[in-house]
This record gives sequence, C-alpha cells and structure tokens, in this order.
Amino acid sequence: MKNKHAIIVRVHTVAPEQTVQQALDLLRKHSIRCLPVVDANKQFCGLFTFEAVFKQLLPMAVRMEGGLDNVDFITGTSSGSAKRLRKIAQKLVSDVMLTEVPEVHPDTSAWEMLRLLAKFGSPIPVTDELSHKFLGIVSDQSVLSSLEEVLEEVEAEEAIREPINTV
Amino acid sequence: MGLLVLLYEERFKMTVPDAPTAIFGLSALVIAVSVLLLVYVFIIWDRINQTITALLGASAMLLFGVINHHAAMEGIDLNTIFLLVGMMVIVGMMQRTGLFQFVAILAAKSVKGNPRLILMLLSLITAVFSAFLDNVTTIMLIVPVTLLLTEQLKLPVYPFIFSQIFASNVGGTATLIGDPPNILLGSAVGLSFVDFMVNTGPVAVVCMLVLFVICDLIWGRKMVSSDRARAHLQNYNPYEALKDKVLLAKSLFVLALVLAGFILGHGTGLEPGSVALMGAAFLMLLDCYAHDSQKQTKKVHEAFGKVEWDAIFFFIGLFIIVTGVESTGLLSSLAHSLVGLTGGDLERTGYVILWGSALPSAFINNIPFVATMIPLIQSMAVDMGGDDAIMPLWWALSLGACLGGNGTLVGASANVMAAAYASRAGHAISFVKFMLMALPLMAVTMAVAHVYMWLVYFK
Repeated sequence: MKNKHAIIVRVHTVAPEQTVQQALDLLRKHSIRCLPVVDANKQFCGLFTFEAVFKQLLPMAVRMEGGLDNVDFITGTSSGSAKRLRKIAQKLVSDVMLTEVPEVHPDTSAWEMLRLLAKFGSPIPVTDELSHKFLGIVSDQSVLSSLEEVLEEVEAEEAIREPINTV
Repeated sequence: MGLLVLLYEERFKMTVPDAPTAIFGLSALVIAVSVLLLVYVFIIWDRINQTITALLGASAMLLFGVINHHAAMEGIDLNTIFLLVGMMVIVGMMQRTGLFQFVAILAAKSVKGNPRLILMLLSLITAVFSAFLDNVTTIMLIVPVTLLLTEQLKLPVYPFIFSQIFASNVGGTATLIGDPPNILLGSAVGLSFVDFMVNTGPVAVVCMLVLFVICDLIWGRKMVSSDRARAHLQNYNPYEALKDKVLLAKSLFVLALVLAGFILGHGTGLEPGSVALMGAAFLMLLDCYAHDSQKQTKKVHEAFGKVEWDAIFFFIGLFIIVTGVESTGLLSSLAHSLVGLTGGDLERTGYVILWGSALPSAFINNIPFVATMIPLIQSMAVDMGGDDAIMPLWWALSLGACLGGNGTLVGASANVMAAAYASRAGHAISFVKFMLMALPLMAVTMAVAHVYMWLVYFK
C-alpha cells in the first residue's frame, strides 16, 4: 500500500495562538473530533482534541503523572467543571493541545501505520520526517478505503492471470 | 583522594592486622576505602543513578580482589532483601484497593473540612501508614489525595507537604518495617518488631505531637477555606474510593498475619524476611486461585512488577561494598578509635552516634550510612561489655538515621518523591526554603530523642 493514498491533505487546522473557544467552535461547526495544530511556518505542533479539553477540566491531582486514578468518590462536580470550562475557553490552543502524539511520515510502512491506528486511534498526523512540516492526516476511514483500493487492484490482477493458468 | 587513602593506610598499617593484599600490589584496604569513598561521592553528586553506582562499586570490590565471590554472596543480607520484596508485593497489591484515598477522604469529612484539623489528620495518617508501609509508597498514595483536598478547599499546599514529609520519616522510625535503616538494623542485629515499637515507638509518638504543635503554631491560623468549599467536601463519598473491597479484605487479613508473624516469629528462628515473603505468596494465592493459569501468570507478574527492583539492587550492591570494607578490618579499627575517643563511655558514645548519624542522614541517603555503621558498632561490643550492653547504641543509630532524614529535601527518598509530586502539580518546593525550616525542626526531634535516651537508657 502506498501511504500517500491514505493521506488526507485537505484538513481543517488550527493555529497555536488561537483560543480554545475558537478551536471548539471549529470542531462543532465541521462535526469533527480533532484539529491538527499547525503554526505559521506549517510546522506541526500538536493535536487539539476533545480529550485534551476534558483533561484540563479535571483537578491537578488527577491530571498529574502518578495522580489519582479514581475520583468516583467526588460527587456533584458538574457546576465546578462547567465554570472551569469557561476559564479554559479563554486559554490558547497551545496551552491545552496534546503534544506527545504519534506521527507518521509518507514512507512509514503500512503495518506500522495500522499498528499506530490500532493502538492510539484515529487520526494520526502525517509530517515530513526532516522538516517536521505538516502534510495531512491519516484516519481509520482513509486507511480503510486505500486498503480497499489495493484489494481491487489485486483482484483485477488475479482475474487477468487466471485464464493463462487454465490454458 | 588517593593521597588521603594512602595516609589512611599509613595510619592503619599498625592497627589492621594481616590486611589482605589485592591486585596491582595495592592493599585491599586502599582499594576498599577508595571504592567506598567514591560510591559516597557519586551518591552525593547524584549525577549517576545510585543503583548503578552501588552495583559498580560492588563490581570493583570483586574485580580488584578485595573479596571473593563467596564472601560477596555471604555479605548480601537476604533477610533484608526478602523483607523488602515481600512488603513491596503486599503493599503494591493493597494500592489497587483504594484504601488510602478512602481513609484520607473519610478523615477530611469527619472534621467537616476544617483545614486546621485536616492538616493534622493527614500527617497522622501519613505517620501511621509509614510505620507499617514503605515511606515512599505512603507519600505516593497520600500526596495526590492531599493535592485534591487543597485544590478543592483552596488551601496552600506547602504546609501539607512539609508536615507529611516529616510525618513519614517520624512514623517510619517507630517500627521494624517503617524505614530502611530499621529493616537493616533489625536484620543485622536480630532486633524484633516489638523491640522497635517499645524503644523507638515512644520517640515517634512524642515527635508527632511536637510536629502537630509546631505546624499548628506556624500555619494553623492561615488555614481557612470558604464554607461553600467545605460543604462541597461533605458531598464526597469515601466508600466509592474503595475499588476492590474483596482484595482489601484479603490484603488486610494477610497484613495482620504478617504483623503477627513478625511479633510471634521472633526468637523462633522465623525471620521477618521469610514472614514477609510467605505473606506475599499467600496474598498472591488468595488473589489468583480463582483464575486460569494465563491470568494467574499475569497477576503474579503485575504483583512483582510493583517491587522497586532498583532499590533492591541498590541494597545488594551496598551489602557487597560494606562486606568488602569490613573484610579489611577498617571498620573495627575505626570502632576502636571511636571508643577511644569517647573513653569507652556508653552514654557519650550513644550521643555521638545519635547526632553523628543525623547530620549525614540529612544530606545523603541514610541507607549506605547505616549499612556502614552496623559492622562498626558491632565491633564496639568487645570494648563496651558485650552485645547486650551496646543495645542503646542501636537505638541511637536508628533514631539518628531515621529522624535525620527530615533535615533536607534530599534526606530521604520519601522527601524527594513528595517534592517531585508537588512540583508536578505546579507547587515546586525550594530546597533552601525547606531546609531553613526542616533543619531546626529536625534538631527539635533529635533533642526529643536525646532526652528520651538519657531518661530510658542512661539515667
């Protein structure tokens, strides 16, 4: 499989200096789950996702490394979280975005890409290995369609070969 | 340093009889002392991980022929190693139950969110848990809940972290298994769980009271939070924090058995190390028996994954290094010199050990220090009237090393862990700010220990 078939080049992106509110509006407007954060030099900075925002809504004692892994005992916190959301909406995308995300490159092998999708979920940003320039994303849908394309090609080849074998 | 070592050798040539010679024509003494000093330097410098340092130091002892393989293996105190591994497995499994969050939340609710009382209660909980569990584990469990409470009640974080660091070291002093120096001492000298509770326990109780009073004097009045935040806290349901009640019952049952084993086993040849490993095996059995073999393997793997293997191998390396130094006769020579210095007076020697252990323990890891001091004090017994006569010296070492750990942020691993958590949560603790308050408070607890020793052993 050639990865470039799976890469979606035309995607909505957000700049690191935009506000969380603006980014959330974009997610809602286009009914998408995730926005790659790309700076003015087209460099990939991170991913802005709903998960990243939700993480910020939790108290520090839960967010931090080695923090609490169960907060079931805290009840009636939705008003607090709602107020916190109002505060976070004013922050910059760069304060909230996920920075430690897997990336793939145009020459990443198909199996590695499937492994990353299986492990981290969709989408995965595609960057240039050297310049770290943002090139697009691969999503579960795009990989699936490109696999189906390959399957069609293989079947077509087999169909041509078959009559020769029977002669 | 080489010169210093050579001077040392000159000094001890007369006093160390038949010191073995190692390779390159260097005496074993020179090599052993150089290795020990280098290991200390690297541990203080903190540029190379301390486990690597200890293992390389042990390697040097073997490679340079200070001790042979057999002596090195003999030097590893398996009782200590098994005790540490066994307790780490048990505590690691208990972590999954949510007991610690439960206790902390319940305590905070029981005082209706009164911040002044929460400060005290959380340090009391830290002290009690530290007495029975490893200090670092206690800190790892209590600090996140503390940070949650301080965030909810909008309280300053520093007083809580400070008092919990102190409480963890003071609580650890009280029992055989509370703090690594006690584990080392108990195993090397054959001191029982009850011995510690009776001898170091009272000091820990008094020190905790002192800590309460001082912390309340300094921060008590600043501990205020809004009625709304406190009312919110009352909505918490601590029982939801208990994630695995069945495992909790099993692990509390096993922990009780293990503690009973520590107390009853002493003197019957059943050492704490064996008791702890038996307990770990039994708890793993209780947790696993209902599952198929694949799941069992996974669970056992997870349980042993909770063991801090780097700490275990740090101990192993140190045991070999200290055995190497011991084999050269240096430590017994030093012991004789120390006895000569104090005129063989038990009381004076006790105070020298008490205060002399506290100062280094405040700045460096107290484990290598205690490991070195044990054979040194053991060889004092000859000059001071036998093993029974020098018992107060062991308590002096334990109190000095454990309480000394409070002096600075690097005095004990639990301090380092607490500071790391605080800084991750955006409340970095300054080394100097901590020391300026911790050193005097440590001196107060040391004074308590001093008076206690005078009252109980020397009066």
